[in-house]
Amino acid sequence: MSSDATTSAFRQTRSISRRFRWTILLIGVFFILEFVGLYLSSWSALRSLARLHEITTTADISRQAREVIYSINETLAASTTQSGSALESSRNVLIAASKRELDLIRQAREIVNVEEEIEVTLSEAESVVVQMEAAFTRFGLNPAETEQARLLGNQFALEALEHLRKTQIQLTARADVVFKAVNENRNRPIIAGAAIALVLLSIALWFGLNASRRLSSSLTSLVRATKEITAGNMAYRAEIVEPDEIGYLANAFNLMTESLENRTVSRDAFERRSQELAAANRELEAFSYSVSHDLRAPLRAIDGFSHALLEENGDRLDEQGRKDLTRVRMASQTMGKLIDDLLNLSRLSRAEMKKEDVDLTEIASAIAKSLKESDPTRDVEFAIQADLHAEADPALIRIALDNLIGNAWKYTSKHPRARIEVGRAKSDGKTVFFVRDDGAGFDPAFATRLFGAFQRLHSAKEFPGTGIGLATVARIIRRHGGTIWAEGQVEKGSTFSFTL
Amino acid sequence: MNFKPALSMMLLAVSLLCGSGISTASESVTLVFIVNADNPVGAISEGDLREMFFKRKKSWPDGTAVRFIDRSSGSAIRQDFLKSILMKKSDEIEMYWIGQKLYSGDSAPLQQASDAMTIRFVESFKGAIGYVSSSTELSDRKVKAVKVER
Repeated sequence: MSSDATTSAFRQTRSISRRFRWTILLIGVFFILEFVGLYLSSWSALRSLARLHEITTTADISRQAREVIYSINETLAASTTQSGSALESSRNVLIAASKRELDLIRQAREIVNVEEEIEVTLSEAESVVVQMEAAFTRFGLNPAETEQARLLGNQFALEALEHLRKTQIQLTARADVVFKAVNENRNRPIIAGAAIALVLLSIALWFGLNASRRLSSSLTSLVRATKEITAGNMAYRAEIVEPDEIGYLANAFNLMTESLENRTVSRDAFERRSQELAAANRELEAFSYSVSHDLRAPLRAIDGFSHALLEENGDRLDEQGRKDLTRVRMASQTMGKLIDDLLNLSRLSRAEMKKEDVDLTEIASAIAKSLKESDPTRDVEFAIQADLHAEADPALIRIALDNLIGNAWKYTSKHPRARIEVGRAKSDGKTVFFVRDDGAGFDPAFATRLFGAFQRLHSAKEFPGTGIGLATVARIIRRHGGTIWAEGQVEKGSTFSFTL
Repeated sequence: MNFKPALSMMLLAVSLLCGSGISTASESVTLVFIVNADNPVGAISEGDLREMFFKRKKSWPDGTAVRFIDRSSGSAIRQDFLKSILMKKSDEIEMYWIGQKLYSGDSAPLQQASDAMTIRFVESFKGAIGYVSSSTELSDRKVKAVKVER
């Protein structure tokens, strides 16, 4: 199955994220079900509590209405000895009290209208109070009317009081019934809530365990595959248990393993090739060493026999013959020097390197001293920066500095006065060491050719040498993992910089 | 709070009191029962009188509400009424009404001191019933005497 086809296939199948979405939706539905269940189971109790509140409110209004009736009775009793304005005042009080009584009863009826029995009693009370109010309108008009109103008022007050007492008794009985209902059902919401929660939790648990089992199975397969491949079994492939994200991951893992398997084979081939190349290089170096070494013997013979010929039979040769023989000797000596340099270069590549903290100032100073001693007549100023340290192989770095400072000494030899500087600078955050002189310099166009073996920018007559020195320096610097470059102008000196 | 058993016991006690020994009541009656002139009833039994007094019978046959008017507690006519019709003592009646106030909400009927006021009360309500001295003049009043049957 190709990668694209696999991706497409997995997109069309179930996925963990979709399962998570469903789970969240399910939890939401469960929550709503629990809420509805609790609401329904509590609804009866809540309704009863509301009814209880209505009853207590009505009972309080009924109490107030009875108090008004007591006041009416007191006013009626007091009116028997009253006359004139006092009687008129009592009439106003009685009418106002009747109206207040009517308001209270109607208010109570409105609150308790669902309780039919109580409502009937209150409506009877209302009817009586309406008649009482009508009776009081005749109160105080004249003694006969007053007497009549008082007579009727007393009877109506009595009857209203009776109705209000009955209302109170009915309310009390009703409150008792409602309270019992609340009390009996007080545990219903808890039981219903717990039962619903138990059922829903069981379902959720089943879903959770199922999902966990599937996930665990997929992950176990993937872990097993990882272990197998870690152990080197590159042919092992993870089993795709579920076509979900983990399955998708397992598939990607298998593709990765396949690619890794192919790359591992390529790397093995590459390593084999590298080893072959290294072996070939070693053989080449050994061959070069052997050739160089073997060349020295005939050269020594040529030089030796030329020397012997010149010493023992020089007088039998004419002038030209002696000059030619001398040239043969010089050429063989030059070639010997070349071979020595080549041997040294070869040794550099093969020698084991041991890095340690090296005091470059000390090495440079020693080289400078040696050079000065070799030709005390020269006026050369050495400026060597103090405390130059580097992590390097001491023997190799000494050879490198010997070559660089030696070159500086050599290429300043045509100048009556010279200055050679050894120091340190920073470039792009790296430490750069340099050897600078104010000597013959070179054409910058040929700067890159400086570090090749046998590459020379000046003739051997002008400045002696074999052309191996800078190639040696470059090889040493490269072996240290560093880089080397040169800057200069003809007759304006040169600067050789390197990093380690 | 359950008042029904207590109410039942109270009613039972009162009925026992009321139902016992109606002996020579009719002979000693010196009072006459009067009703509103508009009331079609011409005769009433002693039992109905007791029921109406104790507010167990609350309406007349035509549906009019019964309104019983009693007489002052210490008056002779009331004693006569208690003795001949209710056959109870005054304190027994008081206790009954205390119980009724608590358990049924009913109150004792209003009381009037004079025959005149009693007559005026009965005139005022179609369903009223009261008792006055047998010597009281009832002509030209909007009331009528009813015959009491045993």
